[in-house]
Amino acid sequence: MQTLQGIAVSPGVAVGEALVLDTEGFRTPRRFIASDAVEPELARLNSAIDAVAADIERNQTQISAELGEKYGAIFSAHAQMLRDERLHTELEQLVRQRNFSPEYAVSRTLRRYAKVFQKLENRYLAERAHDIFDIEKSLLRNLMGADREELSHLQSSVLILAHDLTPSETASLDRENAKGFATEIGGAGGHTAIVAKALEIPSVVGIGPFLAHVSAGDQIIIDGDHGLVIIKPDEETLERYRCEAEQHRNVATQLDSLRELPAETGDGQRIRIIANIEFPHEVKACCERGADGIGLYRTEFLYLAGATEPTEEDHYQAYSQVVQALGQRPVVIRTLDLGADKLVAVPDRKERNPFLGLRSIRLSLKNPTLFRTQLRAILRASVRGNVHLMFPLITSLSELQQAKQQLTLVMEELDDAGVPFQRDLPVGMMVETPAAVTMLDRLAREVDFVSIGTNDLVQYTLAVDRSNIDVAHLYQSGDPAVLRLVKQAIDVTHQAGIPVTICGQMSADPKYTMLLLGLGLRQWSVPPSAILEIKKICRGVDLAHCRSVAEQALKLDCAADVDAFLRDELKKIAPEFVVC
Amino acid sequence: MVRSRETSAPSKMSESTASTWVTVSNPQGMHLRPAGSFAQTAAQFSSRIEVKKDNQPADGKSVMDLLTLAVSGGEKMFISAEGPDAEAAIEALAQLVENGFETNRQSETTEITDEGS
Repeated sequence: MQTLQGIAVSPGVAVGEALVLDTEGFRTPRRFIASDAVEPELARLNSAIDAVAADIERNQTQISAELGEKYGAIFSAHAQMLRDERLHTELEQLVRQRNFSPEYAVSRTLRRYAKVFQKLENRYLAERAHDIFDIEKSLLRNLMGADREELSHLQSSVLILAHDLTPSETASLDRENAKGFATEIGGAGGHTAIVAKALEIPSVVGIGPFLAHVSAGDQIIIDGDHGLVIIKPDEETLERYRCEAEQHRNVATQLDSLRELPAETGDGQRIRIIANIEFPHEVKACCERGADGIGLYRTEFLYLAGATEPTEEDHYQAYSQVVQALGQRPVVIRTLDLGADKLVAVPDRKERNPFLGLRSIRLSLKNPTLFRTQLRAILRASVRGNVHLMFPLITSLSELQQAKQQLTLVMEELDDAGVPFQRDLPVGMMVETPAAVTMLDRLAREVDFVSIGTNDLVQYTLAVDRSNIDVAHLYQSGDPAVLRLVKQAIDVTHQAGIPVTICGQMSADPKYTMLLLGLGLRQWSVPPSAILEIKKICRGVDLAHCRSVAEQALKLDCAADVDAFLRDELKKIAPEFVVC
Repeated sequence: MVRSRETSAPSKMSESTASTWVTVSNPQGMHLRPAGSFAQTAAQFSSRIEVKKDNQPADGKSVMDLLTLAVSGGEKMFISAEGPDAEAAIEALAQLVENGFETNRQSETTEITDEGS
């Protein structure tokens, strides 16, 4: 048994068989063979080498004929490496003496060579590592043949272990059979985390190198509550997790009975619970759990999924699908909220402080073409239902005004073109910086609604990058400084008479529900998985008690005290939600 | 170009060792194609062939191994052979290196020295 610690990004526990993805999305198959299978396996290896050599020769001839000898010679490098007798001997020894499968032997040996090459100071030689990876890939492709499993068509339920998952891999994922993710790299705000949360499967990222210790088919536990991955668990551990999984199911069954009931406090205050989504397919889960609408439709996925920027039509189709499914319930579409590094169209310039750099609304304002494409699509979708538009990371009044000006320009364009849209669609902004909270009385005059994004607000208020392992512990949603800002934001929007909601981790965490109710919040925007939990808390409390909880919490001096206090309060009414 | 060569007297007629220092003359050093030519030439002999740079050894018949030595232009390497055709192997390989690893096209300007042995 081996236990690894990573970053928990999507809750729950999954127990199952490992599917190990190598680079290039290859599934690394079983690593060892039976000792009586050595000869047939060696024959398989040799025929793969012959087949790849023949392919290379064919390519060489073809390219030489088409482009000239010089280009054909590129393949002769591959051919020579592949013909290397010493390499053959090494591979054979690994299969014969250590019973490695040919695939594993190929992967290990070639990667070892590639590593040696990469370390060479001579740049020309260091780049030959690519040739070696190419050969590895060709051999593996040949060896695995039909066994190569596509992520989009999994044969059975598996837990996916990978160095990293690319957006296109996760986009095409077989949702029925992928029961959990664990990756070597990645952070809390990363792409895999977002997808795992959207799919509601347990996920742990940022584990560090561990794939070398796992073989395909090993039993694995992914503990998305504590950020643990356990390889080949012992019987006792397995039993413990089975019990936990059972409890999870019981809580889920209990929560299920709340689907049809309204979110209402014990003393009759109706609470609106709307959902955060990333993908159109999540609408189903929202509707099933009785969401009052979509409070945050993130649109980043459109930009991450393909190799090119999404077209207006891509946007329009994605939005229409969600908007129509929700009928008259509101759908808040947030404009692009990404850093410059994630976009194809934007020239890649290394930023020293990406979080303080060209991201989110700043990126949109700097790239009006990109921005207007999205605005046009949102406006066009607005006639198909109840669309709200929201700008992220607004920090100053002038930024908000510029964004609104772009919107006006796009409206004029649509008018000229005779394209219908909802002229009075509500326009809102996210409050994610201390500056926005401080200036909210002014900003509120310019918008129809406000959503407090606590993830960024915590980061900017406490000056903590939570993906930095040295300071991540300082990232505390319950920090008194954060609570004061949240309170101020809620108070100011109430005075301005516009609706306020909170999205981000704070709103989805049941620990904060009573506090936020006490501070006057009446609308939550949470991932679909949290809808029923929050509903359950609301139904179990009354406002007078919540106000006293808020009052006491605000008197505390530090995040740890706030956390302990809120945890105790939660334990009194819903012990099953207290994560230890 | 200076070349020193040592050949030890064989104990048996069929087994001998030979070795020599060579300087890699082509500016790019022993990159892929040169290493390929070297390994191919070495493979024509039945002797075991070893190449050393800064005491790091490599199998003279393995392209991959040879490349990991990362021999740059102007650097020296030590070639040794052990087997029935050791001398002939060293002869051929030393000539190859001095000709800038050209096997197909015999360089006409390079004078083929044949000293020692």
